[in-house]
Amino acid sequence: MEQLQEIIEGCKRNDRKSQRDLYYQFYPALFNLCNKFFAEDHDIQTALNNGMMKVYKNISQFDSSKGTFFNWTYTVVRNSCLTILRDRKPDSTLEFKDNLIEETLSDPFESSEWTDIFISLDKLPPVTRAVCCLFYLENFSIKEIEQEMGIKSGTVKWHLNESRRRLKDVLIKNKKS
Amino acid sequence: MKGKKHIKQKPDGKYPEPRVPADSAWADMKDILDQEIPETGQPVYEKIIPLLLKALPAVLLILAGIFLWMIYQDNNSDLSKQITQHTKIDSTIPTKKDVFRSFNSGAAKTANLPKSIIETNETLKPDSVSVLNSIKENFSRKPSMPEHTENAAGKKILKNRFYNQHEKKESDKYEVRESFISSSGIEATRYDEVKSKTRYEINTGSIKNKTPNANLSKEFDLKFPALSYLNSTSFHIDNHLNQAFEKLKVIEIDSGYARKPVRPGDKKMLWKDLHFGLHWNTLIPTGGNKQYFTGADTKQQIYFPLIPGLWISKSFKNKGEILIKASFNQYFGNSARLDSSSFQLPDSVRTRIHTSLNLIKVRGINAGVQYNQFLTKNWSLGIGANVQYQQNALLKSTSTRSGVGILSDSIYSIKGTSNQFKYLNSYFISVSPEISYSFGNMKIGTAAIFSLTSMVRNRNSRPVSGQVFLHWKIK
Repeated sequence: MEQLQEIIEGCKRNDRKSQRDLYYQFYPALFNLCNKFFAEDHDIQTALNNGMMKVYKNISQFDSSKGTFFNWTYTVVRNSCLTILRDRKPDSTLEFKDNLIEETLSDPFESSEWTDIFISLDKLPPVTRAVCCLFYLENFSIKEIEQEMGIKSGTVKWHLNESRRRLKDVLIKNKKS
Repeated sequence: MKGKKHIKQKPDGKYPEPRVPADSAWADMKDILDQEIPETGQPVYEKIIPLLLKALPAVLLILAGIFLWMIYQDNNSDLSKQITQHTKIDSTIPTKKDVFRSFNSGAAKTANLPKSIIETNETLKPDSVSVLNSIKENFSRKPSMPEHTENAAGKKILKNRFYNQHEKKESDKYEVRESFISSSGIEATRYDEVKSKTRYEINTGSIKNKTPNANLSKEFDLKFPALSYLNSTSFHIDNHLNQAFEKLKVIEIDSGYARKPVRPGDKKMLWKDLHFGLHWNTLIPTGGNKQYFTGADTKQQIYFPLIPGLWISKSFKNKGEILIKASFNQYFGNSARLDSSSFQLPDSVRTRIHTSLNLIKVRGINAGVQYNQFLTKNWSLGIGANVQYQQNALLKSTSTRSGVGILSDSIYSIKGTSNQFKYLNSYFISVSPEISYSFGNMKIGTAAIFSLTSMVRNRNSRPVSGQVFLHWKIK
């Protein structure tokens, strides 16, 4: 904990070594986070580095009384992912007017390992993947996804339904286990 | 849904190994940091050492060139000394004795002198005096006396040496041997017999002390008319002995002779035709010049062509010149394709997004060696080989959507440490024929640059460029 505090202080002084230490310490977790949203390595790295740049620039604004430093960094990088996703929003919109069926609310990844989760996510189109990820893996509500992604709630529901349809095999497998 | 393991993340949690290594990712991150928030307190040596390491191959190349060139010069110098020292003279050609004999042919004393050796002139020049003195003094020269003198300009001149020796042959006869050794080391010897050793020594002494006894002087005049003439007449004597001896027939070259020790002047010869100075060059891309002044940090750098390079050259007697140069250069990649990819949009069957990465230009240290041949006093042709160490590059990333056109178009730079530098070779080799015009200490010219090796890894990218350059000779 003291070591992390020293790193944070170093980052505030714009010390490269401290910035490097911070990057290496959080890299596996943050790469994993970005990988939830993006399949391509280039996209993952762009999102991660954009997020870390915001962390380095605004590190003096971090308030330890509001939460841990990792959670703050995690949120900043996740927002960076969402920014990229918003910029790539497709023109075509599809809305799912019906109410979500109860089955949608159950987590398809509940008992999955990370490797299996990524295999499943890779089967989804980018926006569907992002919505699925936010809903099931980041615990966002549909309303929050609507705000963060800048898409209508009906579209969010459509993407969730689409993810359920494409991940049918996973759900069946999870039910059996 | 709360409390699930996938939602509550920890920095030290169990995650799959990232597909992109942390080192590579950090290299990109550091590039962005260096551009966005440069480190102010970074020690100077941390910046300089990597730069020096990158420049090291170029420096080594230049040093190797200079070293080879010095070896070449030394070998040439040794060869010329060998030829000079191993020359002997045919006995049938004119020697000092023949020169003396020509004086005995009556009134036309000076007319019969070989023109290449002596010319009559009332005014003595410093060089002439030194030659005359050397003949006089060396007639009875002591071994401890110096074998060289200095002219008015302070330049050392090796003297022509004149020795005499005598030894008893019979009871009343002495053999006198007179040797004349030119400054270039060629020896001419005559043998005479004299009856009286004492009289011979007096004769030689009369020249040395310039107070000849009348009788002895008369006898001396009879025996050595040429020397008597030199002693009594005001001359202008040019030291043309070297030219005269060049006409002599060379009959033997013996490699068994001991080498003459290296004289101090030989080392000066090494630097005699050495020149150095600064040069400026500007590249003329054949594939457009939209980003001509855009620097590696994507900012405009109009001053870039004004950054000078260094050159050093050695000129030769055949109007040739070897030149070594180094500078900070840029080469244009003519938008060579580095990478491309495409993917289909999830909600559309027909719509595809294409992304491409192209090389605009590279920058780095350039070192080269070239040979120039002067055709006239001013015009010269040259051919050179260059090595460009690529240190940073300017890239263009373009995303296009089928049926729509360009979605995004961005220019950004990468450094040697960047992950995307994997697309480029660390160096490439080029050749450059050139033509130039010299005036005073300046030389202006133009060259064409052909890449022999590819700038880009895994693809063949060898763009041709033009170049205009200006050389300023300091020495």
